Amino acid sequence: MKSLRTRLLIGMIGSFALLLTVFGFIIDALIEYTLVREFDFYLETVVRTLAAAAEVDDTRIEVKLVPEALPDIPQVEGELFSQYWKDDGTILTKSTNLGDHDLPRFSVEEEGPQLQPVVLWDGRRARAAGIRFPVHPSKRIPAGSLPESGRGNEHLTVVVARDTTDLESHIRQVRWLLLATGVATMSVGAVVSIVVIRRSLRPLQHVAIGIAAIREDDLSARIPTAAIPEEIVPLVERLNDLLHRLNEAFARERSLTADIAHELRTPVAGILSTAGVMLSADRATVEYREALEDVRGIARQMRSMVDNLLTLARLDSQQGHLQFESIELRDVIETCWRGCRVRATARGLTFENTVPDGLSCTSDRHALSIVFVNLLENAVEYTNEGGRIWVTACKTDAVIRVEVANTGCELAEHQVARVFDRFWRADASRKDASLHVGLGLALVRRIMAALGGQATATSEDGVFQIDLRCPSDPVSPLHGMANARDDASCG
Amino acid sequence: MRLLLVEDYPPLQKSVVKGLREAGFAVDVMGDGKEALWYAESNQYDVIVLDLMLPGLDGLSILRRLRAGGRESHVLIITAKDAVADRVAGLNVGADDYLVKPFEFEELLARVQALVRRSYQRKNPIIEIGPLCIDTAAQRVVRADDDIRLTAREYALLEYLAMRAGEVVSRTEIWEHVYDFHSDATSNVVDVYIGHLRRKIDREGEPSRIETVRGRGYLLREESQ
Repeated sequence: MKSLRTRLLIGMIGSFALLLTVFGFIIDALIEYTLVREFDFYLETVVRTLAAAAEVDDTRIEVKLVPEALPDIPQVEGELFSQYWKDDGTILTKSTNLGDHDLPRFSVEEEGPQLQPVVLWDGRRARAAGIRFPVHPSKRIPAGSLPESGRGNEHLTVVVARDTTDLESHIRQVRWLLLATGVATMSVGAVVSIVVIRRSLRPLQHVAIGIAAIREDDLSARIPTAAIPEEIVPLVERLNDLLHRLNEAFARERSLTADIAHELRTPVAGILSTAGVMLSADRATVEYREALEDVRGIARQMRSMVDNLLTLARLDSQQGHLQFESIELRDVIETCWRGCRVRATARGLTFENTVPDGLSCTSDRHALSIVFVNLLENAVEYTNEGGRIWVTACKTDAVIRVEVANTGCELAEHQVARVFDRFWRADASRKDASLHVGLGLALVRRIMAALGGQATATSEDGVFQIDLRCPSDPVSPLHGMANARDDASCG
Repeated sequence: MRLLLVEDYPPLQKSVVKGLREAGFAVDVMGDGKEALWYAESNQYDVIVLDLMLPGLDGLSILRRLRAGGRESHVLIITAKDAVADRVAGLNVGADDYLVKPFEFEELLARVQALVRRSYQRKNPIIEIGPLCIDTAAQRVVRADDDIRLTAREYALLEYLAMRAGEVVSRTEIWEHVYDFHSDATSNVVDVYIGHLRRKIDREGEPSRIETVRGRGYLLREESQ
């Protein structure tokens, strides 16, 4: 695609040239028409005067041939010739400047003079006016009047020709003048167009320079909109918006990487330290066994963190292939609880699964399992010693609502809002002092979104509760879920 | 030497405590920030190893309060925060050293030992007391080319006495610097261990290097006989 400047320039100059040409042709035609008309008017006047000047005295016809005798006819350049004929073709008389030559005789009707271009004997071009008129003996005939019937009703024809060389050169001059004026106007117009277009497009260049100055490692820069024409401002604003969003996304990505590295450091320190201490002396088998158990424990925690991270990454890149099927909720929750049972027993927690039998939702089994495992592990981790964890579910409209709740929550309202953030964890609730990476709930929310559902958290009277909403049938509208009755509770 | 470890990640806590105890340190362990502050304020620790991200109260606040309260214990910060700004912040609040996780236990130990030497205004890790040569880095005691085999507790006792050689050290001081809350020790146990130590480091027929100063405590003599 051509540059905007070239397109504008071609468009402007092209239309300007076209307009000028059309205008020039019209002017030229008008001038030519006016000049020829003036020329013809003169010829007409002359031919009428000549016709009027013919007198018949019996058989003698007397004509006054001198146009110089007509003082009110404007003298125009160009040689004038005249010739009279009788109807039988005999030449009555002609002007002396014709010499031996004749003017071309053309048939002329009686009504008024007729005009046409002719070529003279020497090849010169001319225009001629001819008139046929009746002559009455001893009487002056008024030009153009209809002859009355009478004796000796004889007709004469007179043709006046005038050399058009001067007229043509005159017209040519006018044409050249028009052309010269046109070309000059064109040139000035083109220069002005170029300057105007260049000036108008300069802000675009500034924007381009501004964009070029933005480096990929620092997206905090913005393109200034102050000196930019208002037509481009929306474009620049959108660009700035885009930069802002990109910057935020990159910042999130950077902080995520930093968080991951940070979270991995502590377990790695645990492994290094355990191994370092064990290797510092010869030891009994029991000690080695114990240390290996510890290292395995750390590795398992790291594995669960890596698994969660990978699941999040896959969901983020839309690689996860979800297979929707009808899933019995109570069974899934029971299965997921099995993995938490040992730790829950150690902490003296009670668990109640009051999800009604036969209640099912449409979801991906694996993804839904990750959701419940994370929620239950989280609950086991943060419930107070001897506390209670319970899961209920019910169906409202096309939505299945699942509530996972636990006692012993010390989260303030502003903290509840952050529980779904990656790597966030409430410091005060880390009484247990174990490594618990703040990924579980972030994963829960992300998976629920992918499954077409929602996850929300509340904290009230020391009870922390996660509400899940999943579609109960595959075709239910997922977007309308936010409008589902929020106050509805499974009790 | 008495040491307080403040770290909330159990596997790391466990291995570091084990390693430090084996190196002759009396170690108290805390996983919670508030409790750690209370311990640090009520005991005379030679070194405090402090994690920054803690439940209850963060490490920097603990350190700030300790310094504001005039506590002079040497503090080694161990943390996953490795940015220069974090290190500078830690040192500016009054830390003596800064170690970024993950670290090798050997390095932690070496840094802790360096802080102990600094506590007792010593630069040389090898302390020579007459014919005795105590290598505090390797935790070895040599007398005239003979290795003296000491238990961790005996070594800790000797090292403390050696650090303060030429001074009279009370039983209470010994008790405070050589035993942690983990050991069910009373100050009587000090006398028992002094007896063990005398048997191992003294030569028969010579007066003991460790003098009993009646009513005040013990004195490890520096000058050769």
